[in-house]
Amino acid sequence: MGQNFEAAQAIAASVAQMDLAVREVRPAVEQLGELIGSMSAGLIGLRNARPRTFDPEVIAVFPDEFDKAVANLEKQVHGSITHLQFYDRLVQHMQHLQDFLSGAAGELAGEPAMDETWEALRSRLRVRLISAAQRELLDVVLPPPDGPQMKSQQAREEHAAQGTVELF
Amino acid sequence: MPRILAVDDSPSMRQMVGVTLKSAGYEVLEACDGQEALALAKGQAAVDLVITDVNMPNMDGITLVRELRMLPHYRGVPLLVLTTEASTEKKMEGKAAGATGWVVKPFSPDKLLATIARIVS
Repeated sequence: MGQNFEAAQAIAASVAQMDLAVREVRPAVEQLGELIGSMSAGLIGLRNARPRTFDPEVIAVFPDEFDKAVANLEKQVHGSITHLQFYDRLVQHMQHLQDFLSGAAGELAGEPAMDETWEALRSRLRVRLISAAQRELLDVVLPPPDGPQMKSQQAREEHAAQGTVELF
Repeated sequence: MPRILAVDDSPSMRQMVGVTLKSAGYEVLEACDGQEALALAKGQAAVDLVITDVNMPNMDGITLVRELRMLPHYRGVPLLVLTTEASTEKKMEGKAAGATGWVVKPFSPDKLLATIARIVS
C-alpha cells in the first residue's frame, strides 16, 4: 500500500508537470497565432493595393510578379495555419494522457485495482487517442489482457486520415 | 459575404479558422463551446454555415448539431464538423445528428475554403 501511494504521488506530480508545460507554452503559441493573423490581414491589404494600370508593358511584367509574390506568401501563411494546429493536437494528446495517468494514480491510491478498472482506463484512452500511430503504440506497449483488439491495418481503415474532408 | 459561425473551445483553433475564413472574405462569428453557439443561434443569429469542433466543455459538437437541427431557422443551414475525431463510429454519430460534413484536423486552409465555397454556393 505504501509503495502504491508513492507511485500515485509520482504520477500525480508528472501530471501536474505536463499541465504546467502546456500552460507555459500557450502564450507563445497564442502570439504566433496573432502573427499569422497579422500576416493574413497584410495579404488582404496587399491584394487590395495591387497596382492597377492600363499601360500594356506594366501589365505584362509588374502585376504578374506581384501576383506571384502574393500567391507565394499566401501559400506560406496557409502552411503556417496547418502547422500551428499541431500544437492543439499535442495539447489534446497530453490531456488524454493526463486523464489516463490521473485515473491510474487514483487506482493506486485507493482500493486495490481490479482488472476491469485498469482495462476501462486503457480502453477509454484508446478511444480518445487521435491517430492510428498513437493507438498502435498503445497496443504494443500496453496490450489489452486478451491481446490486440484489431490489426493495425484495420485500425487505420476505421479512422480517417488527417485533413480528410467528407461531405454526407 | 456569407456569415460563418466557428465553434471551438481552443482559442488558437478559433483563431486559425477565423484567419482562414476572413482571408476569403467571410464574416466570422465565434463561440467557445456548444452552449454559447446554441445561445447565439437561439438569439436569432443568422448564419450561412456553422463549423464546430466535437470535444468541447459544457456542450459537445454532436449535441450542438442535434440541437441546431431542432431550430426551425437552422434546419437548412450546413453544419460542418471540424475535429481530431477520425473514427468511423464518431463520424456516423455526427451524420445521424444532422451534420453536413466531417473535416479531420489539422485542416488545410485551401481544402477547407474549397469545401465551404462548394457548400455555401
